[in-house]
Amino acid sequence: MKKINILHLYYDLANLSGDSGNIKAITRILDEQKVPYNLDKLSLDDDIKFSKYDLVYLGHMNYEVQELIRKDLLKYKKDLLDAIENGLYFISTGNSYELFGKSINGKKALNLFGFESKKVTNIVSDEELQNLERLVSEAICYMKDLDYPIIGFYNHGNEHTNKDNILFNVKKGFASASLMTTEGVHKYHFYGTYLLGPLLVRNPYLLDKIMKDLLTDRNIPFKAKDSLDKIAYKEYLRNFKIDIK
Amino acid sequence: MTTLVIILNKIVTFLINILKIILHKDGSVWPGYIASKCDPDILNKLVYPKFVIGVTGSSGKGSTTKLIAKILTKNGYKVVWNKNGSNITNALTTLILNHTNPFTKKVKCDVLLLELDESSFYKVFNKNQMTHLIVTNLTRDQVARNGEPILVYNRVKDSLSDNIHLILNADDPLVLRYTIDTNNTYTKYGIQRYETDYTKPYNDTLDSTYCPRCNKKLKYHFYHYGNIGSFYCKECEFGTNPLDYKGKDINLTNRFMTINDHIVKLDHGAFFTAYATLAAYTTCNLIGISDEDIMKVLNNDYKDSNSENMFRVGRRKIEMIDSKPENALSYEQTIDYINEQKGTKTVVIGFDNVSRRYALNDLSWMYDIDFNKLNKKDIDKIYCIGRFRYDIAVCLKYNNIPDNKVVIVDDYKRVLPNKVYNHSKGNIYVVVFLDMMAPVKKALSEVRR
Repeated sequence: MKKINILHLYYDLANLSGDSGNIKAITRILDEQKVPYNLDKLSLDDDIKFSKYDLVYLGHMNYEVQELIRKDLLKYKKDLLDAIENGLYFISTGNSYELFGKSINGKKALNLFGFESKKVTNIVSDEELQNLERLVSEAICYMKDLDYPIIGFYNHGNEHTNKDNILFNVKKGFASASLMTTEGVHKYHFYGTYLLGPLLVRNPYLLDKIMKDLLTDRNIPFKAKDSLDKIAYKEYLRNFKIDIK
Repeated sequence: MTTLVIILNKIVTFLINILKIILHKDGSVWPGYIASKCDPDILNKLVYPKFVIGVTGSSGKGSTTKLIAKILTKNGYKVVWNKNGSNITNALTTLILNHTNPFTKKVKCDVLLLELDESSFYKVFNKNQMTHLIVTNLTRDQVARNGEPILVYNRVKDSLSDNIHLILNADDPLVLRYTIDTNNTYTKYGIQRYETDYTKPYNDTLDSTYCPRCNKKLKYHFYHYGNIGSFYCKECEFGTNPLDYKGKDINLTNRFMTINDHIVKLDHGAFFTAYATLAAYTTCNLIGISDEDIMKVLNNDYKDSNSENMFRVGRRKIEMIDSKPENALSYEQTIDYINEQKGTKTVVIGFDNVSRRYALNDLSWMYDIDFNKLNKKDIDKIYCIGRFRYDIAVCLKYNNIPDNKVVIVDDYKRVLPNKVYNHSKGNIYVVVFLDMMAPVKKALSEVRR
């Protein structure tokens, strides 16, 4: 059976919100499906060959780190975009997916998508959340082709008004900008969302869908299994009175 | 006008104290709120004592403040400090005005000592009143409110005036960065190698492990926990050493450590107590208290700082540990503390809310905690309780805790005592957020075996 090659990209920098949970969730699925895999962790100063991977994960980061990574990733622009076009699965959470837009606060980004991220302008005033220059909220989203709602958390200091290649319709939460009702991007097998942290742990049906697609594309059978993650997910929906689609 | 506002603050405090008895609610913010509305600049019109000391950071500021207050008071200083832990602007305004003479406008003490919220202390002082600022650490904490550590760092930096002497935990790379980015004078404290230190990072979720000057990855001699340890940059002089105040030879079992060759007692068996003691020692020594006078207090007036949360049911010792969610490193130190205790152990983990301040429940921080440290032979069972008990159980599973050790308890008030007392072994460590301390304590202490 083909070995699945996974890359946790900038593992030591883009890991601000429990991102390691996503890697554990991905490898749990591969273990359950008895699919062999290799997990690499690469960062600044490493030589990265994106074409050798089946799945890349990039997590949330602070804006100082984002600037370091932006510069570093531009070195790989052609290799990375070619790999995505040729079937690389790429999961990008939190503000990391801003790197795949056209620009971030006027600085050139990878331009896989046409949106331009800029500092949040519609500042939300909240006495307790004194962190005013950010969009912070819990989130409930819906995704085409998935019967289960996506739950998670937004906490980002940039925003954009992208209307193309939309990933989620946002029922609760700030979305890609405070007045938007959509969020995230999905093109080829690239999934980008401002939802941060252990997205794939908290949304086991989304994880099943992505992993099923990835394995099926590689002629590896996938059979969804029950898990504690799914029980916890349903308990959360029940607790917070969230409807399944 | 200033005189009237000070008097008004005292009158409102008096009334609130009466209401507090009836309503059982803390109203320490209201007098300060009203005073600030009358005069937003009121705190800048007072005459301050020689020493105005601030203590800030993501964790440890409360215990550090308490120790400083204890050392100073026992050495004859009159100290005004926020002993109830209210560290937001209006509560501090209430405190300061209540200790101010309305006519001379002098704050009536030798030392004004304030535990300061790291994200809002710039609202308290905007002139040159503060003389010393201790920064205990800057790690991921209440990210929904504070944003990332670098944002907190910047907020504190922007609030500094040049006259403030900084007292810095040099084991934290982000805290040490103030030595590069500001012109303030500073004193560095840090802890040398400890027996449970790591030579490689325990996991990947480390903040600020790149040199802020060169952007090169920092090298570490050792890690105490998270990114806290002894580090250096190969390209420049940025690094923990040299230290002005060195903590070493820590013995958490017998509860003592050495600070600059002086042995002092620790009032709790957790590693963070060593940092609080070291920071307090450093500060008091800097403002003129001798080593001997500090040691007299620390070594002769000893009481466990968590004793009120320890009790026994039959042969089982139970320790309640208030553990704030949203601060993974702080949470993990609680786990380290449990691991340091001898014998078989049972652990209870839970929270009903992530925050007391806001109704947002970001669960990301849980995945920054190395719960696999609980995967030890002497941990008998781990009970998951509260509204997020299933999420906790999932997180434990992802941290390789065996299924047979993890028990999800749906109705903890009714079921937990029977489960814990009849189906687990050893001393019981209850790791819960403040919202669950009282109900869990009640459930576990009122049981009839």
